[in-house]
Amino acid sequence: MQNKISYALRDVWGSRKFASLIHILGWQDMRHRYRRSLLGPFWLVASTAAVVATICSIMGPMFGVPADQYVPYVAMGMITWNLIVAMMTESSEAFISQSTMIQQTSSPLFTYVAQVAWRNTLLFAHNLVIFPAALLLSGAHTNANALYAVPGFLLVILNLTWMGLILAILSSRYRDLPKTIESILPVMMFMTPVMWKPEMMPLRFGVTILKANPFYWMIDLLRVPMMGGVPPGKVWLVAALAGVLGWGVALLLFARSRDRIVYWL
Amino acid sequence: MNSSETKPQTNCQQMIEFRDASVHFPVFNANTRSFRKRVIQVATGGIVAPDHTGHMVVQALTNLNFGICAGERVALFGHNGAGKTTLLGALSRIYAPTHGAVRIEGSVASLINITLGTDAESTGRENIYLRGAILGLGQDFIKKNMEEIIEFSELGDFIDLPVRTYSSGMAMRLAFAVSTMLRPEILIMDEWLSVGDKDFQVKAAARLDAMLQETKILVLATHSEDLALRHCNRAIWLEHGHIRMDGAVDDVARLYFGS
Repeated sequence: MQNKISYALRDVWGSRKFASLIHILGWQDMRHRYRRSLLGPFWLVASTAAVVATICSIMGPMFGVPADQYVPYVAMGMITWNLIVAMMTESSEAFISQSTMIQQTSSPLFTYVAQVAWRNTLLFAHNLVIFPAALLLSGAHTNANALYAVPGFLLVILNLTWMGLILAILSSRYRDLPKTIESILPVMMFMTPVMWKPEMMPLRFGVTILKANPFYWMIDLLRVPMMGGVPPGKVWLVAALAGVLGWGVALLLFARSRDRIVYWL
Repeated sequence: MNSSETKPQTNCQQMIEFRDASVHFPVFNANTRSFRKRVIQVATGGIVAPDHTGHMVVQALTNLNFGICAGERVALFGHNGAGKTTLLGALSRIYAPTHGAVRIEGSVASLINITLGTDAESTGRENIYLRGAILGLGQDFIKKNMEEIIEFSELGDFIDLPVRTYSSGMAMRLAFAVSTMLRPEILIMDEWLSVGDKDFQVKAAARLDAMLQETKILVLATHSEDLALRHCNRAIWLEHGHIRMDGAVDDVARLYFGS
């Protein structure tokens, strides 16, 4: 088993040699998706912006939250939520969609999970332009605390990649999983404070359940600093611990399955 | 090395070793139940049989035992479905054996699908970087060799146009030029690579020979006796995933092509 774990680690670590492949494929995916369209990747930005605008104009008055609090809250919430959804659904297809490559080259398998992460980092960066627009339009302000979003983002990606690796492995064996993920995520959005705030919950019970939702603190790690706050130490600690433990579990699974994945495709 | 030395030796530098190695593919969507009580030997393929847990598996390779030393040029014979492609995959470190052990020392490269990953929307130049990245070559190395690749592939101004505007011959020449930059210790091929028109083929043959000069081991799956005799000194004959015969290329070829 020890051998297998070091073998799995070598695969993950070895994928750094394929950084240029990850980069080229990540860009290529993005270009292909919006090929020959006038707006290019900004089509994604436009659709995210439309969703944010709609939620803000309908739910904002309903909840009675002032625009300068609600608009940036929803904007950053949606941008992060989009990243989470894309990482979950696309990671589960990471090996399946690259089966030709995997069956014909011996490059590290983690390369393909990293490709998904890099592509979505690029798309996230595009989406991020919505946030300053939301600040401007709603007359809200932020401050230098926004810089905390940088380590916040790294922690979020660290966690999304171990989840992605596990999903990629299990999905290549159990083909119902990608479909399951796809149908669960829209439901999860309503259970995660993207457009509502935890303090709006009438029951203490609900807040307790909420704390078990990893997407909740992922969003907070980015949204709180972007709105000028500092995420509490506890959130950082939980995210870091989850990152370490999650990677441990992912590596154990990867160690057991690394050589079998090509047979499952 | 002459052909009389090609029997497994003990004092050579053995870079590849298969010990009781098998490659069995699970079949997930076949109707297990209807197969369960039967063991079917497909006419020209591997053996389809349930494994110990009752899942159907295709036994593409079963209990292979052989070693390959530096300096050997091995031809792989066998009918369609005999396991040649699977063995090439195992030699390329793509399939780890499901049973037994495989040891492969040194860098391996395959010239089986040299256009793999080609992106029709990207330019020739971008595709050189892409192909290079798939092969695991550093960007600096590719940059350094860029002009040489462009010149060799005779693409001229086309190099900055999308590959979808290329003729299939042009795309092949480009892929060939990039893939033959590699200098692996072990080279895997499925039939000989022949690219382009007559003039280009001469150039290509010279480039391939230069690549072969620096490789320690060649494994070439082929249906051509001529090719095997010209380039190899040893041959392995696969049948239904087993080794039917392993020896000097002349001996194996005589029996295989004579039968």
